[in-house]
Amino acid sequence: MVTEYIVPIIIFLFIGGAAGVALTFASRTFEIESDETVNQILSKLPGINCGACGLSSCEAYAEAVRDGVFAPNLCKPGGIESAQGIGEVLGIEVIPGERETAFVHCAGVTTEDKYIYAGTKSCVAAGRYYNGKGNCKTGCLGLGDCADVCAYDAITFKNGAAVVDRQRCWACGLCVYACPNNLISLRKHSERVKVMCKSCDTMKETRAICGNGCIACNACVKKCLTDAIKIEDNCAVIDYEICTSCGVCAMICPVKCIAVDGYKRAAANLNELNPNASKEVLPM
Amino acid sequence: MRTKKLDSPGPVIISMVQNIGAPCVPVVKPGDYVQTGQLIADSDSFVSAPVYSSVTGKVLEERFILGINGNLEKTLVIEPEKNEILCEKIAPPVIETRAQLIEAVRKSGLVGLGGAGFPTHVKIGYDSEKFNVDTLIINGAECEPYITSDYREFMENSGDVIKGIKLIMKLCAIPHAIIGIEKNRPIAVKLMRELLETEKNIKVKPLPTNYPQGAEKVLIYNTTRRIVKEGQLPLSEGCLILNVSSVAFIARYAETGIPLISRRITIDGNIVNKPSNYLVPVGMTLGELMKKTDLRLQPDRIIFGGPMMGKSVYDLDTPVCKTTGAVLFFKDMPEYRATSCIRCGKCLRACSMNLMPTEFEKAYEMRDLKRLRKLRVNLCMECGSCSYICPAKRNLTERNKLAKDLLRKEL
Repeated sequence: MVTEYIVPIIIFLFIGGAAGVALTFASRTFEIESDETVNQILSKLPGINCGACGLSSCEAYAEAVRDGVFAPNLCKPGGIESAQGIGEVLGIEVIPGERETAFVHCAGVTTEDKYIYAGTKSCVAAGRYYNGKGNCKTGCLGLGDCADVCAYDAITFKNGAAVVDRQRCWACGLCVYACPNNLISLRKHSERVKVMCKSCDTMKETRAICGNGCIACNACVKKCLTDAIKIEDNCAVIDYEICTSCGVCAMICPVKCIAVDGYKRAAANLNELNPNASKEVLPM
Repeated sequence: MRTKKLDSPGPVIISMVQNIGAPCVPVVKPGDYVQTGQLIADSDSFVSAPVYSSVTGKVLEERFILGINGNLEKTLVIEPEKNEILCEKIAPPVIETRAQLIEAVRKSGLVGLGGAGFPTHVKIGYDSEKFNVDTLIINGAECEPYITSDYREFMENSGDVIKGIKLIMKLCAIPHAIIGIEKNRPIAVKLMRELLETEKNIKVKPLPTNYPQGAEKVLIYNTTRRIVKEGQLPLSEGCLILNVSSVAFIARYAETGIPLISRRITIDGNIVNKPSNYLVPVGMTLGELMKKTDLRLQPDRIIFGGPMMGKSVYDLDTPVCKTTGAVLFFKDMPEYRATSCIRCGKCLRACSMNLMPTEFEKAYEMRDLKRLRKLRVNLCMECGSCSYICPAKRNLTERNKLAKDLLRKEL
């Protein structure tokens, strides 16, 4: 009885006690000093290590903010909360950057594919063969390199083109680098009017391959109330410094390739989005 | 079966991008009348070869077609007439010195007929002070399945092959030559051995029937046991490699002066009734070729080149160019779904360069450039052996290509 139960229990208690003493000793002697400020900043960050701030991890960014190397409002996924939280920790006033969302400048190619693609499911791989299976050389390849890197599952596919969910996207920018056709850009939420095409083909060429493509017809340039739109390389480009997001361009665009806040058919949605603007604008 | 000559009844589309290096610029305008063998495009660049008209007729237009790499290629569309007139400027060139040979080869418009399309005059115009070349290797190892056009070159034009080899050996002062032929072509090996019985310095070497036997570095190792290091040319190991069809063409050009306007093409595939070789004018479109081919069914996959490294084409207006060695028609090929890597290591054994395709794949997924460089992904020649052997049907070669692209972009 004694040798079977009591002695093993005493041995294990002894080993446990000795290990406890050794561990306590080790943790005191080999202690790495962790900065309390860094830990506090880290608790305000989302902790997904997306790299949008320019550093490889949230911890590295927290250290850089403490040292004053990086600005405290650079965490895009954290947004306003992170910026204000860091401000409280450091005791300074931080002006939070405006929330941004990734935007895909393509509404999907409307013509049939050139060929059936049976290779690796990756835009980079498909783009190596005749610019992808679609007819447009600048359009969305639709195989989901952007969706693969997205940490928030914010990218879905509609009409063969990627669509970003505004609620889910936190503008980390990983998809911007993943897209081989450079179709994705980060846009502030106040920049509500976007051109859904990057085609640099002429009107005739674009008309032949896509019903959604910008045909550089100059209609938006003429009707813009603030002269914020220019045609560069056969594609409309909006100057967001001047743009007032009134939505006239989206209404008159003959191919409906200008979107207001992600809605493609802007004319139908203009009333509910901006009732005051629509009354002034519609008589035109 | 002997090679048959084909004529294009419809318009030919002659591409300005038929070689590695600078694209050519047309020297004729739409509306001009051109004769067979007339110069229609040339370039000032050294790494480039001129293009000649393969038919007699009127230039209809300049058209842009989409190349496989996604760039638009300029082409000339020529409507052929029934009676062919050979251009009167064609005359046999004077070839007595090495400089004259290089100049003549450039004028002939010859590019490597094996498939890569490197201008041959650049290859034989190597710096003889810098490189001490002692062996001329003739690549007759057509390793890709289906293709037999180089085999027919041995059988039908064996005299030209030998004349071409002797010409280059004499003018470039190369003491030895080795002809590499795969062992599954015993008749060609026997024929060449009989013809070269008296020649001491030209050897015929039967090679094992393995893919990729015809790849430059593999061929050099199997014929001379020399190893070409990463980023170096075969010239640095004293080897000059030429395709058998290119060599035979040089001999023919020296005699007749007719530039490269047609080439031998194998037409094969699982729905072709009589697979055979045809002499096809450069620029003949796939649509015309299909009309002349005896097909059982409508193909759903057409490949220019071999099944391992060739390119799939989708457009019936795609023209045959100087580098096209075969046109393959397939239907109902089995489709595979890629599954997870089972770490069997078959791709490692299959790789002729002793690389690790499965590790490339992992490093590429992690975008680990340092590891990709350490694994020597740039040595991969994209032969496709790893994808072929993979029991999980993973697209390993595709990843290798993407990894190489990634490294090139980051540099």
